[in-house]
Amino acid sequence: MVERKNIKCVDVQKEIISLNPLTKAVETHLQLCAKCRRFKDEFQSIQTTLSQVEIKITPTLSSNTLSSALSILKNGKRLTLVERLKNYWHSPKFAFGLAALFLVGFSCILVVALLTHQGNASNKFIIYVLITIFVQNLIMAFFIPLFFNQSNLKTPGHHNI
Amino acid sequence: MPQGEDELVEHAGNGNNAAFEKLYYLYEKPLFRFVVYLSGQQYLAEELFQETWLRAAKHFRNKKQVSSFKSWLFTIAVNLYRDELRKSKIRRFFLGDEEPEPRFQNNFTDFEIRDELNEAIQSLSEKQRTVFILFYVEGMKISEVSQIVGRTEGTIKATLHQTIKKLRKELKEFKNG
Repeated sequence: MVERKNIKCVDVQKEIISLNPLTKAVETHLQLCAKCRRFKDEFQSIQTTLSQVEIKITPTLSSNTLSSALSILKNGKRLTLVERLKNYWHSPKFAFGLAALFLVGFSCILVVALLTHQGNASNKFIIYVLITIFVQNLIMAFFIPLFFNQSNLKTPGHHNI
Repeated sequence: MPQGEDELVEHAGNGNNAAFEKLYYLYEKPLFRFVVYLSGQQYLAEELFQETWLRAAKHFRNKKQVSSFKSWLFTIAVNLYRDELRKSKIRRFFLGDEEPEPRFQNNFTDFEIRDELNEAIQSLSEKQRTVFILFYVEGMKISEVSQIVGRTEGTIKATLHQTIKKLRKELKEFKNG
Protein backbone atom coordinates (compact mmCIF):
# COMPACT_ATOMS: atom_id res chain seq x y z
CA MET A 1 0.00 0.00 0.00
CA VAL A 2 1.59 3.30 -1.09
CA GLU A 3 0.97 6.39 0.98
CA ARG A 4 1.40 9.83 -0.55
CA LYS A 5 0.60 12.94 1.46
CA ASN A 6 -1.35 10.88 4.00
CA ILE A 7 -3.79 9.51 1.45
CA LYS A 8 -3.92 5.79 0.86
CA CYS A 9 -4.13 4.38 -2.66
CA VAL A 10 -7.44 2.74 -1.89
CA ASP A 11 -8.94 6.10 -0.90
CA VAL A 12 -7.57 7.78 -4.02
CA GLN A 13 -9.09 5.05 -6.17
CA LYS A 14 -12.41 5.43 -4.40
CA GLU A 15 -12.28 9.15 -5.13
CA ILE A 16 -11.55 8.49 -8.79
CA ILE A 17 -14.45 6.11 -9.28
CA SER A 18 -16.86 8.35 -7.36
CA LEU A 19 -16.68 10.76 -10.35
CA ASN A 20 -16.32 13.71 -7.97
CA PRO A 21 -13.89 16.47 -8.99
CA LEU A 22 -10.42 15.45 -7.80
CA THR A 23 -9.07 17.28 -4.79
CA LYS A 24 -5.60 18.81 -4.68
CA ALA A 25 -4.42 16.03 -2.37
CA VAL A 26 -5.61 13.34 -4.75
CA GLU A 27 -3.96 15.05 -7.72
CA THR A 28 -0.68 15.29 -5.80
CA HIS A 29 -0.94 11.62 -4.94
CA LEU A 30 -1.51 10.78 -8.59
CA GLN A 31 1.62 12.64 -9.63
CA LEU A 32 3.66 10.52 -7.26
CA CYS A 33 1.93 7.14 -7.54
CA ALA A 34 2.23 5.20 -10.82
CA LYS A 35 -0.15 2.51 -9.61
CA CYS A 36 -3.00 4.97 -9.06
CA ARG A 37 -2.25 6.75 -12.35
CA ARG A 38 -2.63 3.39 -14.12
CA PHE A 39 -5.86 2.79 -12.23
CA LYS A 40 -7.16 6.20 -13.32
CA ASP A 41 -6.23 5.56 -16.98
CA GLU A 42 -7.87 2.16 -17.02
CA PHE A 43 -10.97 3.50 -15.34
CA GLN A 44 -11.20 6.33 -17.89
CA SER A 45 -10.81 3.82 -20.68
CA ILE A 46 -13.82 1.85 -19.37
CA GLN A 47 -15.81 5.07 -19.11
CA THR A 48 -14.89 6.09 -22.66
CA THR A 49 -15.97 2.72 -24.02
CA LEU A 50 -19.26 2.91 -22.17
CA SER A 51 -19.97 6.41 -23.49
CA GLN A 52 -19.38 5.24 -27.07
CA VAL A 53 -21.92 2.46 -26.87
CA GLU A 54 -25.20 3.15 -28.57
CA ILE A 55 -28.08 0.79 -27.89
CA LYS A 56 -31.03 1.16 -30.20
CA ILE A 57 -34.57 0.13 -29.48
CA THR A 58 -36.49 -1.26 -32.44
CA PRO A 59 -39.60 0.67 -33.54
CA THR A 60 -41.75 -2.45 -33.25
CA LEU A 61 -40.79 -3.14 -29.66
CA SER A 62 -41.23 0.51 -28.80
CA SER A 63 -44.68 0.90 -30.37
CA ASN A 64 -45.95 -2.44 -29.08
CA THR A 65 -44.86 -1.69 -25.54
CA LEU A 66 -46.38 1.76 -25.56
CA SER A 67 -49.70 0.65 -27.04
CA SER A 68 -49.97 -2.23 -24.56
CA ALA A 69 -49.16 0.07 -21.65
CA LEU A 70 -51.66 2.70 -22.82
CA SER A 71 -54.27 -0.01 -23.20
CA ILE A 72 -53.70 -1.04 -19.58
CA LEU A 73 -53.87 2.57 -18.46
CA LYS A 74 -57.12 3.12 -20.34
CA ASN A 75 -58.94 -0.21 -20.05
CA GLY A 76 -57.08 -1.99 -17.27
CA LYS A 77 -56.12 -4.82 -19.59
CA ARG A 78 -53.71 -5.56 -22.37
CA LEU A 79 -54.53 -5.07 -26.04
CA THR A 80 -57.44 -6.97 -27.53
CA LEU A 81 -56.73 -9.69 -30.06
CA VAL A 82 -57.64 -7.49 -33.00
CA GLU A 83 -55.50 -4.60 -31.77
CA ARG A 84 -52.59 -6.95 -31.16
CA LEU A 85 -52.93 -8.32 -34.67
CA LYS A 86 -53.04 -4.79 -36.06
CA ASN A 87 -49.80 -3.94 -34.28
CA TYR A 88 -48.20 -7.17 -35.38
CA TRP A 89 -48.46 -6.15 -39.01
CA HIS A 90 -47.06 -2.67 -38.48
CA SER A 91 -44.96 -0.99 -41.17
CA PRO A 92 -41.58 -2.28 -39.82
CA LYS A 93 -42.84 -5.65 -40.99
CA PHE A 94 -42.83 -4.42 -44.58
CA ALA A 95 -39.68 -6.33 -45.46
CA PHE A 96 -41.08 -9.46 -43.86
CA GLY A 97 -44.31 -8.98 -45.82
CA LEU A 98 -42.45 -8.65 -49.10
CA ALA A 99 -40.45 -11.77 -48.39
CA ALA A 100 -43.63 -13.67 -47.54
CA LEU A 101 -45.28 -12.39 -50.72
CA PHE A 102 -42.32 -13.58 -52.74
CA LEU A 103 -42.49 -17.03 -51.13
CA VAL A 104 -46.23 -17.28 -51.74
CA GLY A 105 -45.74 -16.26 -55.38
CA PHE A 106 -42.92 -18.72 -55.82
CA SER A 107 -44.96 -21.55 -54.26
CA CYS A 108 -47.92 -20.75 -56.51
CA ILE A 109 -45.76 -20.87 -59.63
CA LEU A 110 -44.26 -24.16 -58.47
CA VAL A 111 -47.67 -25.67 -57.72
CA VAL A 112 -49.05 -24.58 -61.10
CA ALA A 113 -45.95 -25.93 -62.86
CA LEU A 114 -46.30 -29.24 -61.05
CA LEU A 115 -50.06 -29.44 -61.67
CA THR A 116 -49.43 -29.34 -65.40
CA HIS A 117 -47.35 -32.49 -64.98
CA GLN A 118 -49.38 -34.16 -62.25
CA GLY A 119 -49.61 -37.55 -63.88
CA ASN A 120 -46.44 -38.42 -62.03
CA ALA A 121 -47.08 -39.75 -58.47
CA SER A 122 -44.05 -38.00 -57.02
CA ASN A 123 -45.24 -34.67 -58.48
CA LYS A 124 -48.61 -35.16 -56.80
CA PHE A 125 -46.89 -35.83 -53.51
CA ILE A 126 -44.78 -32.66 -53.84
CA ILE A 127 -47.92 -30.63 -54.59
CA TYR A 128 -49.65 -31.93 -51.45
CA VAL A 129 -46.59 -31.25 -49.31
CA LEU A 130 -46.25 -27.71 -50.68
CA ILE A 131 -49.92 -26.93 -50.17
CA THR A 132 -49.80 -28.33 -46.63
CA ILE A 133 -46.73 -26.27 -45.75
CA PHE A 134 -48.28 -23.18 -47.30
CA VAL A 135 -51.57 -23.52 -45.43
CA GLN A 136 -49.77 -24.36 -42.20
CA ASN A 137 -47.59 -21.25 -42.48
CA LEU A 138 -50.57 -19.11 -43.33
CA ILE A 139 -52.41 -20.33 -40.23
CA MET A 140 -49.35 -19.81 -38.06
CA ALA A 141 -48.73 -16.31 -39.41
CA PHE A 142 -52.26 -15.18 -38.62
CA PHE A 143 -52.96 -17.05 -35.43
CA ILE A 144 -49.72 -16.83 -33.47
CA PRO A 145 -50.25 -13.14 -32.65
CA LEU A 146 -53.79 -13.95 -31.57
CA PHE A 147 -52.88 -16.64 -29.09
CA PHE A 148 -49.65 -15.29 -27.69
CA ASN A 149 -48.88 -11.99 -26.14
CA GLN A 150 -46.54 -9.78 -28.16
CA SER A 151 -43.96 -9.88 -25.41
CA ASN A 152 -43.70 -13.62 -25.81
CA LEU A 153 -43.12 -13.59 -29.54
CA LYS A 154 -39.62 -14.62 -30.42
CA THR A 155 -39.63 -14.22 -34.16
CA PRO A 156 -36.65 -12.52 -35.76
CA GLY A 157 -39.04 -10.03 -37.33
CA HIS A 158 -40.00 -8.94 -33.87
CA HIS A 159 -36.65 -7.23 -33.48
CA ASN A 160 -34.91 -5.80 -36.46
CA ILE A 161 -37.07 -5.99 -39.55
CA MET B 1 -50.54 20.25 -21.13
CA PRO B 2 -48.19 19.24 -18.32
CA GLN B 3 -44.48 19.93 -18.81
CA GLY B 4 -42.40 19.06 -15.71
CA GLU B 5 -41.70 15.46 -14.83
CA ASP B 6 -43.52 15.68 -11.52
CA GLU B 7 -46.55 17.07 -13.27
CA LEU B 8 -46.35 14.35 -15.90
CA VAL B 9 -46.24 11.70 -13.19
CA GLU B 10 -49.19 13.29 -11.42
CA HIS B 11 -51.24 13.45 -14.62
CA ALA B 12 -50.29 9.90 -15.60
CA GLY B 13 -51.40 8.84 -12.12
CA ASN B 14 -54.77 10.36 -12.94
CA GLY B 15 -55.02 8.22 -16.06
CA ASN B 16 -53.81 10.83 -18.56
CA ASN B 17 -52.55 8.92 -21.61
CA ALA B 18 -50.65 11.85 -23.11
CA ALA B 19 -48.70 12.34 -19.88
CA PHE B 20 -47.86 8.65 -19.70
CA GLU B 21 -46.74 8.71 -23.32
CA LYS B 22 -44.39 11.61 -22.62
CA LEU B 23 -42.92 9.75 -19.66
CA TYR B 24 -42.52 6.72 -21.85
CA TYR B 25 -40.53 8.56 -24.50
CA LEU B 26 -38.47 10.25 -21.81
CA TYR B 27 -37.33 6.97 -20.25
CA GLU B 28 -37.72 4.48 -23.06
CA LYS B 29 -34.08 4.52 -24.14
CA PRO B 30 -32.46 4.69 -20.69
CA LEU B 31 -34.60 1.81 -19.45
CA PHE B 32 -33.92 -0.34 -22.48
CA ARG B 33 -30.18 0.33 -22.28
CA PHE B 34 -30.28 -0.59 -18.60
CA VAL B 35 -32.05 -3.92 -19.09
CA VAL B 36 -29.79 -4.80 -22.02
CA TYR B 37 -26.69 -4.30 -19.88
CA LEU B 38 -28.31 -5.94 -16.89
CA SER B 39 -29.50 -9.13 -18.55
CA GLY B 40 -27.02 -9.37 -21.41
CA GLN B 41 -29.65 -11.38 -23.25
CA GLN B 42 -31.76 -10.28 -26.16
CA TYR B 43 -35.11 -11.84 -25.29
CA LEU B 44 -34.85 -11.26 -21.59
CA ALA B 45 -34.00 -7.58 -22.12
CA GLU B 46 -37.10 -7.12 -24.24
CA GLU B 47 -39.27 -9.02 -21.78
CA LEU B 48 -38.01 -6.94 -18.89
CA PHE B 49 -38.49 -3.73 -20.84
CA GLN B 50 -42.08 -4.52 -21.78
CA GLU B 51 -43.06 -5.92 -18.42
CA THR B 52 -41.63 -2.90 -16.59
CA TRP B 53 -43.77 -0.50 -18.61
CA LEU B 54 -46.86 -2.68 -18.22
CA ARG B 55 -46.34 -2.74 -14.44
CA ALA B 56 -45.94 1.04 -14.47
CA ALA B 57 -49.18 1.41 -16.42
CA LYS B 58 -51.01 -0.92 -14.01
CA HIS B 59 -49.73 1.15 -11.10
CA PHE B 60 -51.01 4.39 -12.63
CA ARG B 61 -54.26 2.69 -13.58
CA ASN B 62 -54.83 2.11 -9.86
CA LYS B 63 -54.46 5.87 -9.29
CA LYS B 64 -51.30 5.44 -7.30
CA GLN B 65 -48.63 8.13 -7.25
CA VAL B 66 -44.83 7.84 -7.14
CA SER B 67 -42.31 10.29 -5.77
CA SER B 68 -39.30 9.71 -8.02
CA PHE B 69 -40.45 8.22 -11.29
CA LYS B 70 -37.05 7.26 -12.68
CA SER B 71 -35.89 5.48 -9.54
CA TRP B 72 -39.25 3.77 -9.21
CA LEU B 73 -39.24 2.62 -12.84
CA PHE B 74 -35.73 1.20 -12.58
CA THR B 75 -36.61 -0.48 -9.29
CA ILE B 76 -39.41 -2.36 -11.08
CA ALA B 77 -36.92 -3.52 -13.72
CA VAL B 78 -34.39 -4.64 -11.09
CA ASN B 79 -37.07 -6.57 -9.16
CA LEU B 80 -38.33 -8.22 -12.33
CA TYR B 81 -34.79 -9.24 -13.22
CA ARG B 82 -34.24 -10.70 -9.74
CA ASP B 83 -37.50 -12.64 -10.07
CA GLU B 84 -36.31 -13.95 -13.41
CA LEU B 85 -33.00 -15.05 -11.90
CA ARG B 86 -34.84 -16.87 -9.12
CA LYS B 87 -37.13 -18.62 -11.61
CA SER B 88 -34.13 -19.51 -13.71
CA LYS B 89 -32.42 -21.10 -10.69
CA ILE B 90 -35.54 -23.15 -9.94
CA ARG B 91 -35.78 -24.24 -13.58
CA ARG B 92 -32.13 -25.29 -13.51
CA PHE B 93 -32.68 -27.20 -10.30
CA PHE B 94 -35.61 -29.21 -11.65
CA LEU B 95 -34.75 -29.43 -15.31
CA GLY B 96 -30.98 -29.54 -15.15
CA ASP B 97 -28.61 -27.20 -16.98
CA GLU B 98 -30.38 -25.09 -19.52
CA GLU B 99 -28.81 -23.99 -22.73
CA PRO B 100 -27.55 -20.47 -21.95
CA GLU B 101 -29.39 -17.75 -23.84
CA PRO B 102 -27.33 -16.04 -26.52
CA ARG B 103 -25.60 -12.90 -25.38
CA PHE B 104 -26.84 -9.82 -27.13
CA GLN B 105 -23.67 -9.10 -29.10
CA ASN B 106 -24.40 -12.22 -31.13
CA ASN B 107 -27.90 -11.20 -32.05
CA PHE B 108 -28.27 -7.48 -31.66
CA THR B 109 -26.26 -6.48 -34.69
CA ASP B 110 -26.97 -2.83 -34.00
CA PHE B 111 -25.17 -2.99 -30.69
CA GLU B 112 -21.54 -2.19 -30.72
CA ILE B 113 -20.56 -2.97 -27.19
CA ARG B 114 -17.03 -4.18 -27.21
CA ASP B 115 -17.07 -7.88 -26.56
CA GLU B 116 -14.42 -7.68 -23.89
CA LEU B 117 -16.16 -5.06 -21.83
CA ASN B 118 -19.50 -6.77 -22.26
CA GLU B 119 -18.05 -10.09 -21.15
CA ALA B 120 -16.43 -8.38 -18.19
CA ILE B 121 -19.73 -6.73 -17.20
CA GLN B 122 -21.56 -10.04 -17.47
CA SER B 123 -18.96 -11.66 -15.22
CA LEU B 124 -20.03 -9.37 -12.38
CA SER B 125 -22.54 -10.50 -9.79
CA GLU B 126 -26.13 -9.30 -10.20
CA LYS B 127 -25.67 -6.72 -7.45
CA GLN B 128 -22.37 -5.43 -8.80
CA ARG B 129 -23.73 -5.22 -12.33
CA THR B 130 -26.85 -3.35 -11.26
CA VAL B 131 -24.90 -0.82 -9.21
CA PHE B 132 -22.28 -0.36 -11.93
CA ILE B 133 -24.82 0.25 -14.70
CA LEU B 134 -27.00 2.57 -12.68
CA PHE B 135 -24.05 4.70 -11.61
CA TYR B 136 -21.79 4.73 -14.66
CA VAL B 137 -24.13 4.10 -17.56
CA GLU B 138 -27.29 5.79 -16.32
CA GLY B 139 -25.45 8.49 -14.41
CA MET B 140 -27.56 8.15 -11.28
CA LYS B 141 -26.52 9.54 -7.94
CA ILE B 142 -25.29 7.23 -5.18
CA SER B 143 -28.46 8.05 -3.21
CA GLU B 144 -30.67 7.02 -6.14
CA VAL B 145 -28.74 3.80 -6.69
CA SER B 146 -28.99 3.09 -2.99
CA GLN B 147 -32.77 3.56 -3.15
CA ILE B 148 -33.16 1.25 -6.15
CA VAL B 149 -30.90 -1.52 -4.90
CA GLY B 150 -32.09 -1.26 -1.32
CA ARG B 151 -28.62 -0.91 0.24
CA THR B 152 -26.92 1.86 2.16
CA GLU B 153 -24.88 4.50 0.35
CA GLY B 154 -21.72 3.17 2.02
CA THR B 155 -22.42 -0.30 0.67
CA ILE B 156 -22.98 1.14 -2.81
CA LYS B 157 -19.62 2.96 -2.72
CA ALA B 158 -17.85 -0.19 -1.56
CA THR B 159 -19.60 -2.23 -4.25
CA LEU B 160 -18.52 0.25 -6.92
CA HIS B 161 -14.91 -0.03 -5.81
CA GLN B 162 -15.03 -3.85 -5.83
CA THR B 163 -16.73 -3.76 -9.21
CA ILE B 164 -14.12 -1.56 -10.85
CA LYS B 165 -11.35 -3.73 -9.41
CA LYS B 166 -13.02 -6.83 -10.78
CA LEU B 167 -13.61 -5.23 -14.18
CA ARG B 168 -9.96 -4.17 -14.43
CA LYS B 169 -8.90 -7.69 -13.52
CA GLU B 170 -11.24 -9.24 -16.09
CA LEU B 171 -10.15 -6.84 -18.82
CA LYS B 172 -6.49 -7.54 -18.05
CA GLU B 173 -7.15 -11.26 -18.33
CA PHE B 174 -8.77 -10.69 -21.73
CA LYS B 175 -5.74 -8.71 -22.88
CA ASN B 176 -3.35 -11.38 -21.69
CA GLY B 177 -5.46 -14.04 -23.39
